[in-house]
Amino acid sequence: MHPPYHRYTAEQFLWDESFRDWVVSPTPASEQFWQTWLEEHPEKEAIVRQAARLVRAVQPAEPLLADEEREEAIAQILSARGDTIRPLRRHRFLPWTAAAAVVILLLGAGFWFFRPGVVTPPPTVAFREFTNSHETARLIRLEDGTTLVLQPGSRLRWRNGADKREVFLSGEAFFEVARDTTHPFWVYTARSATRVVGTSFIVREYQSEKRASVQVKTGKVAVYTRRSGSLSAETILTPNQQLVMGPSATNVEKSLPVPEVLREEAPAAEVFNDLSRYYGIAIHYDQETMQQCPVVVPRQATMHLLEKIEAICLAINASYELRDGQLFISGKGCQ
Amino acid sequence: MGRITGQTEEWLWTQVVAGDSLAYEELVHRHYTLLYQYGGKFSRDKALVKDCIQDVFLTLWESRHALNASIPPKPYLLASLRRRIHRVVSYDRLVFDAFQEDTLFDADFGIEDRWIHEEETLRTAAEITRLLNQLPARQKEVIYLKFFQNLSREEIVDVMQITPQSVSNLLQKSFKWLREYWPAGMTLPFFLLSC
Repeated sequence: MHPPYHRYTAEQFLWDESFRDWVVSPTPASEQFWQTWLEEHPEKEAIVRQAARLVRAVQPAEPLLADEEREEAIAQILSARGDTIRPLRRHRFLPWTAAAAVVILLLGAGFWFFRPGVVTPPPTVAFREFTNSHETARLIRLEDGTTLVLQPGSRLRWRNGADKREVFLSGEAFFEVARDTTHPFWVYTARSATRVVGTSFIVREYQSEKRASVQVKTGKVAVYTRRSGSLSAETILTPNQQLVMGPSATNVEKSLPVPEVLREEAPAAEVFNDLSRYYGIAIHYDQETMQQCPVVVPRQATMHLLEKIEAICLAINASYELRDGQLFISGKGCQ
Repeated sequence: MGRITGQTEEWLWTQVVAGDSLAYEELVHRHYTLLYQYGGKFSRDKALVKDCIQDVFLTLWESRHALNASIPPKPYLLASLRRRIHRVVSYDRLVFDAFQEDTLFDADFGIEDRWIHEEETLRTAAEITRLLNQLPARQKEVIYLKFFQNLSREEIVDVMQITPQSVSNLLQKSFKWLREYWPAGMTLPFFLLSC
């Protein structure tokens, strides 16, 4: 049994170990617990958010230790032991391999997608819910390896079912779906259902918008539109096509590709900057250090975001952390 | 650099005890910053802290055959460093008078305000840090180890060489103090203790 969290103030959460652990280093279990708890106590969301900020903000001052200074001290310890230190080995080149596609679903004003009789999922596997009430996009990683960029004012519920993965979305999200042919990935909205096997796409629905659309960059997706509770026949979309759902008609149109402005060889700092702009999420890194780390990025940069980040980090001997929907890169540089 | 990744602390430790020098290097890499931060709470002399950390690791490697392979490394390292610094610093001072607290621990809590945008949360954070900073050394150290270095009560017992009951008492005293001096008019912090 957990403490009476529903009676907690922000200051009490601040000193709760289980809460702190979840804020500082979330695990699937803690994520599950707190998301479920928040679903059951939506009125506590503001307090929980405030408490999470307190946990991050109240910190002991730590003495400064520059990376070089630390490395030097470590080298001294290791050499004092009398053993040799192995030279640095760097991976300079890593090909992007995975295929990716972008689907943009622009969904118009209208009805809520949980309307009974439309798509009611059987209540077997619990849903996890994500809400972005920040002013900037947030990066989220799902348990199946799929990553998504959730735009402000958006909310989605997701679950990893026995035979399919399902997302119910309100707002806008950019998905990079982990490939798994045995578990197709479905995105349900008020007006459409989109099926993908392993690719990437953006889904958007704001209630204020009349037009809805599905845009594909590369790869292929099947879109079903909804009218009066039933789904239409599928429309297959290929790269640079978009499905536009207006108030009266639904058409397939040509769309402009979204260019991912990755350079062939560039300092890591610039690649991070490109990725940050392309995905619209915050990537924190030390500008000066990362400016000195060249990376090679082939033109067909079709890996998912976290795969790219991981490959770059491996190449420049850095590490990354996904915290509060933002990426934090740390590395010692490449001199 | 052939860093070992994805292995648990416990696994690393057993490898170190077994004489694996790669595991030893990884252990040093993983804990250096933590030790440096903790050491910095006892002395502002950077060189002294670094020397003590080096001594801790060298002693560890030299005496690895005599070490218990099934203990968690973090409290062991923190405790070794704590002992060493206290020894060095008290020698340096020549007198380590009896009225002084038996720890030199001194942490300075502050606010990283990039996390906070609302006025009210900022004021709460400021109040918390102000009160934390006024805690006596030993209480500060327990709070630091438990909440900011994530140590369990048992691990704190190992690090500070005090009884489990003392750890609980120190924590309770700290929270009692935070509660009593919480300014009237601010959200009432109804601290509960689960320790």
